[in-house]
Amino acid sequence: MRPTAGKCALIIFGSMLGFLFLQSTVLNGLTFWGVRPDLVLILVGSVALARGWGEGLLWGMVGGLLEDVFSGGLFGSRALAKSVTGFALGLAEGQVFKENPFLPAVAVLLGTLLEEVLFFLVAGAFGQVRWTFLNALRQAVIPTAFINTLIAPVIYWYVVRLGDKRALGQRER
Amino acid sequence: MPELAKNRKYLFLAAATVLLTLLMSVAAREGSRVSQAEGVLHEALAPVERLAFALTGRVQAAVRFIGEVRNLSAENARLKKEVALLQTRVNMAREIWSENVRLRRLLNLPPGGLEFTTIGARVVARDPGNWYKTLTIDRGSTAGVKHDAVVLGAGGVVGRVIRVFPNTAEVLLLTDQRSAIGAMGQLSRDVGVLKGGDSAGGGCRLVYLPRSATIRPGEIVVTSGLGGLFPKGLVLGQVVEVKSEAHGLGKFALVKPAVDMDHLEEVLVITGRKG
Repeated sequence: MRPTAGKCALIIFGSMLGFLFLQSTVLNGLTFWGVRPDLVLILVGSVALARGWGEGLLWGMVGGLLEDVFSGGLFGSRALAKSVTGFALGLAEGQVFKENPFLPAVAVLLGTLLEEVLFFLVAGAFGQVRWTFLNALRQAVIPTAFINTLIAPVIYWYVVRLGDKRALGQRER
Repeated sequence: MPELAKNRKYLFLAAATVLLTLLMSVAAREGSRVSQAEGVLHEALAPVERLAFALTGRVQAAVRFIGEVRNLSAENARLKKEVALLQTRVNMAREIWSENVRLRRLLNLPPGGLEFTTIGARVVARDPGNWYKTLTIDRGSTAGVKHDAVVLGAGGVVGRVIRVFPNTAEVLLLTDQRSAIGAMGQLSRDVGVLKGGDSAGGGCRLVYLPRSATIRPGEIVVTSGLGGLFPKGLVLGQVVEVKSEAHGLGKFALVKPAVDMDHLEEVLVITGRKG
């Protein structure tokens, strides 16, 4: 039975909250190349790929705002970076084969690079990032993009099967 | 009209961007003041975060214990020797301390001790992202925690409080790239600024040291008291390496924090000075 739109939204919101919770507690000690995966961003990217730019923008904003609440940074900065990324990845919906196993990895790699660079520019403009661009690339952007790419297929698979069975069954126009 | 429909998505994007930029501008103007919604969310999730963090800590400690169990006997013998040595040093320090108190009285100087009133707090969560190094503790304004209060861990300074909620508070670690603390070498007395966000140096970098600085690897770095937020003499870390600046005008030192920030579970928040 296919879940209703409301139920889907609730599941995505719950997953987002759960991922955020994992990132600030359980994943704290599990760093790879000095960083933790950004599960919320992978979820936003996956939702955007499966459901289009509208939901990408919306869930990017929701996920980013939630992250801003729990982060010591400037309120709204994560939300802006994530909503623009969700929107950009959502533009690919309908242009790509969703069954392609490389799709989530490539999309999340590009999405993470975009989100992290946007965050650097936005937060940097408000004095919340003191790193140089090269430092930011080395210490945050590239390691996060790498680890997110490795995890992306699992979350994408989860999102596609989670609420909208149409996503896999529907051939692209 | 069809053109408008076609560009509808870009209008949505523009609206979201404008809205969020306005939100950021308001947040930047408000500074460290906390909105009611943020406060409610933080407070509501703190107990669950505390439980998850404690469970995770236990599991990590058990895993570490399994890895270390083979070396326990040798480590125990080494630690016993170290305790005996440190006991001698503590006695010497007591003598010097009492001499210092007598001399200060003779010279009519105010007491210079590091005696503070503190409250204990447990770490319940950390920043979910990779850009900032902050943590949430389970004590807030109702327990007497104030904005900019200094936070200590076992061995030295952890950071300072940047946001205070009624029952929780957020701490900016000294390893955060936004952190800058007035610091100096304990022996050399070379004064600089300890900045966070240096992964290559174990977390921090002591910058603005003069070319004539004599600070060496192994030297303890303490707070200089300059800047007003951190009292003088608190341990920050240990120098790992000293290098010359690229332009050759000064030096900098890579500093390893005294506190293991990755395994922090309890901290002390300074609420005032004794006496």
